[in-house]
Amino acid sequence: MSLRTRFLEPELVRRLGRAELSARTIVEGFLTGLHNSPYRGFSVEFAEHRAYVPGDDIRHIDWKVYAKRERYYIKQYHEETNFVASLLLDASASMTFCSGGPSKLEYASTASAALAYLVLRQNDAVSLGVFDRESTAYQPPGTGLPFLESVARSLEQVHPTGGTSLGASLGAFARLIARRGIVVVVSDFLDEPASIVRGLQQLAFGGHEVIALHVLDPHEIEFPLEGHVRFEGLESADRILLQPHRIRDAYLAALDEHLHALRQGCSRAGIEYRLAGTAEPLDEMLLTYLAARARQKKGAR
Amino acid sequence: MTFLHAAWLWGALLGGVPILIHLLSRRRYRVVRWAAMDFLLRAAAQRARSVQIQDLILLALRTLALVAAAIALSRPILTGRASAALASRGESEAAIVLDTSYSMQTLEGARTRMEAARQQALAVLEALPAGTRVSLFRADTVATPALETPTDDRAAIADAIARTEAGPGGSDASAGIAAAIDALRTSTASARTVYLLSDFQRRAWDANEREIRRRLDEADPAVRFVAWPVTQGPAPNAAITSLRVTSRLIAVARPVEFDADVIDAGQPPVEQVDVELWVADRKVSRQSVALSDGRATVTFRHIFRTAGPAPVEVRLGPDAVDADNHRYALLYVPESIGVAVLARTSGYGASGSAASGSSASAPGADYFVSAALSHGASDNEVSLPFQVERVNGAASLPSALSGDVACVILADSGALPAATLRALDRFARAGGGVLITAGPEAAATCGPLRQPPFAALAGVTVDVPAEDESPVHIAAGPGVASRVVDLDSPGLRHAVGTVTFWRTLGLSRADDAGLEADLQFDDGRPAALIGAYGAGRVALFAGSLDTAWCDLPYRPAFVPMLADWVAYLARGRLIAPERRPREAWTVPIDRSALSSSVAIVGSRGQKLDLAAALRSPATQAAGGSPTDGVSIGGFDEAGVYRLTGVSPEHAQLGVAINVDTAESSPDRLSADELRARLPAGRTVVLDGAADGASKSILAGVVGTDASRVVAAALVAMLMLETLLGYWFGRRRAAAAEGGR
Repeated sequence: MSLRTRFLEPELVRRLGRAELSARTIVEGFLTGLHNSPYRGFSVEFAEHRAYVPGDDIRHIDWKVYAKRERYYIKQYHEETNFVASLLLDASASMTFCSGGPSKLEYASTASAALAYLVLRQNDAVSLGVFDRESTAYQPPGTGLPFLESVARSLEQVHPTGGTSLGASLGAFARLIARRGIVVVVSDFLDEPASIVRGLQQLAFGGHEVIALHVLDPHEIEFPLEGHVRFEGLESADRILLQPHRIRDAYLAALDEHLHALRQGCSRAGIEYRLAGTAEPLDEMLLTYLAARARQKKGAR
Repeated sequence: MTFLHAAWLWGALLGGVPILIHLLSRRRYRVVRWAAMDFLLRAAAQRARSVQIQDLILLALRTLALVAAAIALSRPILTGRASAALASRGESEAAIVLDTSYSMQTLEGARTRMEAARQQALAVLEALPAGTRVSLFRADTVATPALETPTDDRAAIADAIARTEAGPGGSDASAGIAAAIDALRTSTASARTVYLLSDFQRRAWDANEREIRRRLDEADPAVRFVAWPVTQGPAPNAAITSLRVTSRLIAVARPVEFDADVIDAGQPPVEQVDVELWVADRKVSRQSVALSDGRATVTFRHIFRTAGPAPVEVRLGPDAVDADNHRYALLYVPESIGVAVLARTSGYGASGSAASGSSASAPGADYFVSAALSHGASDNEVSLPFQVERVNGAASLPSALSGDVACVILADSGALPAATLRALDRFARAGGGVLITAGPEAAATCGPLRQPPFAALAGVTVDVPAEDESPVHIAAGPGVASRVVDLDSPGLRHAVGTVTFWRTLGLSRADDAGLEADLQFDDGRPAALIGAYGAGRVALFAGSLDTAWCDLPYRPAFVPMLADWVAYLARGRLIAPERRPREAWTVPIDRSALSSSVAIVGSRGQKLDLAAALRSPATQAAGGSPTDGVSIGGFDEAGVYRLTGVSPEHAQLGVAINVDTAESSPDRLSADELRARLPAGRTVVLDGAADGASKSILAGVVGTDASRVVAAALVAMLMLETLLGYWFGRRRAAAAEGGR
């Protein structure tokens, strides 16, 4: 099994085949036609007029406007460009948690690979960043489906060990990713919401369209455990013996508070937030997400 | 509070099981490596206190439920105020019967049975629900209320119990049962219980079984019975069961023999006892006898040197029961025994013999009697202590009876006036002896015997024979040959031998006539009947004491036989009657004779309150003033009592009070036998001392069983635990849903 097929099973690829990842906002792109470029040029779709300045190509002077106003204006067009989708994967130890299905890391890696596939298939560029508290690894953008193999190899080499410091890690990526594009952060976001939002905001401030894909295990969402359980921290030395059902309400309240803070922070920062449980089939999750995103895009136009 | 099945209380340790399970379950956990530890720690910190409180509440409920289950199974019994509080209205009434017969004096170990019974009675009192009205009876042969009225005053009841002592009386179980049932008869209390505290001697129940059954059948079916035998411990005891004067003749300077029967009536067995003879409060003899067979008869011989009343006591050394170590008798030792002979004819030749055809020169009966009792024995160099007095005419007899006469011989007395008959009746009932013989005027003599006041002899039929009756004989035979007269002297020991009768009275007796055949003809008919009559004795002889009807006066046995009869008949005047403690003594005098100067004094100086004695229950039970005298009861102490301050003719009136030594029997009813004799289904027989198991069982009977209450509490706790568990769960679930 190739690395590519490890993360992208044929069925997943088939179901994603017709989906297209489209940016809701204007991004810079390499390919025209699918994505509106923020660099206005002289392309097919009219954008606006501007006053003629010497040096402009006179071919772009709109003579009809000159006839009306007796001043030279240049016609400007939206240019459809290809873009860079940066996939930032949380590789902290907490991502290794699983309650029976795939671990959060496996789920996140597969989702990243699927997104990379979609982006590469439409001739856009993909870059991959992997981070934990101590380190960040960044694979520069690449295009073409063969690059997917390289992405998969990078995902394969992820070995989660350390803790999480999302704010710092995302800040580092904000400085690292020079070209504006889509940044998809795939993480369990088990950190202080304020810190997380701050990190995401740093990415957004860089002009990126930031998507926060929050991956959680169903047990983390539902907390259905019974009996006496000793919980041992994946990222800390904390240990505690509990009867989970006795504190379920408090746990869920704390989780809800956390999610609410994340949602609110993302919303305020214009960051798209999506919560995904690892029990949710990945293709369904991506398809519904992309469909919703496509609807939003049309609405925005 | 006590517990019927206290062993179940160990089950309360199961109350630790929930705690143990809780602790153990904390050790059995699975490990989950968890990512979102912050949420967990925050949630745990937030819920720690409420979870602890919930855990504590549920754990406490589970623990208490198990403890309550153990307590319920152990049957907790609430007594006293707690019981009254639990009971519906606390309406209960109790009758406590304390056996005060002398067997309760028995010293068993360190304490007497009475002390044990008092302790048990106090235990009953303590166990009774507050407000219980209590009647207390002291019972031996009669039951006496120890409280004026039923009361719930615990102090007064306890005081009455503490003042209860065992007396000298025997025991009649029916008396106590009847008193208790009567006391509860009018009670409206819902709980009525009779408590019998006794040593439950078998004889006290066997002897009165029918009466006990009748009383129990009459009792309200709601009345419960609790029999609590006093504890049984070692009680070595010997008892004197009887003191008999075996000598026929009682007179000054003559040896008088006493037989005292001694039995071993305790455990462990007594092998040997010292028996003492005390006369007039002075020890005169002592013997040591072995009780190898469990019994022995001790014979004492004593010669009284002075005439007059002589208190005699046979005494044993101290043992477990003192009451049966003493036996009393009161003798009136005469210089000589007065004999009055009533005969119409007198002297030699007073009458003739019809059969022999002799002339009127034959001696009369008075001659033969005088000769036999005063002179007849002189030939044998034996002096007989008789003082014979001839009474001329029946009318003179009553005045003759007021002296020292101990025996009257009606020898050819002829017809007796009614006044004489009444005098004879009183004389005999008061202890005198009457020998009625045949004679030429037999019809006139014997006719009145079938009329009142001699109607008591109605069981005896006297047929006056025709003149030409064929001779009969007292012949040597199985019944006759053995009739040997022995008047403590070899010279007076003779067999009756053959006596020829020309004429005989036809004597026949009913089975219940109370007279025994002392002699009989060879055809089986009685020749002499002899037996008790009131305090005295009466004898009927089918022949005459002269030669008119038989040739007895010429027979060698005539003198000893006549002396023997007279000695026997006179004993009623020489030996005071014997009564049991509390039994009424009927004094053969008119009530008018009981002036204020009259007193009843014991041989040891103890005085009986005559007025109180005349009001005593025993006196009332005896009828107070029967026709033959005055009943006096209330003799609470064994001993010898004499009537003082009366006229000389009554100077010899006295009584010996002796305990009923059947009461000394160690044979007691077992618990099963008691259950069989008391009403089934509503009788509880306790066993043991007033502590430990018996007290628990008693509490079970008396107190209120709180097990139902505890069981209800158990159910309530289980329900509460379930509800709280459900509620806590629901609350958590709701909170969790709210958190979503």
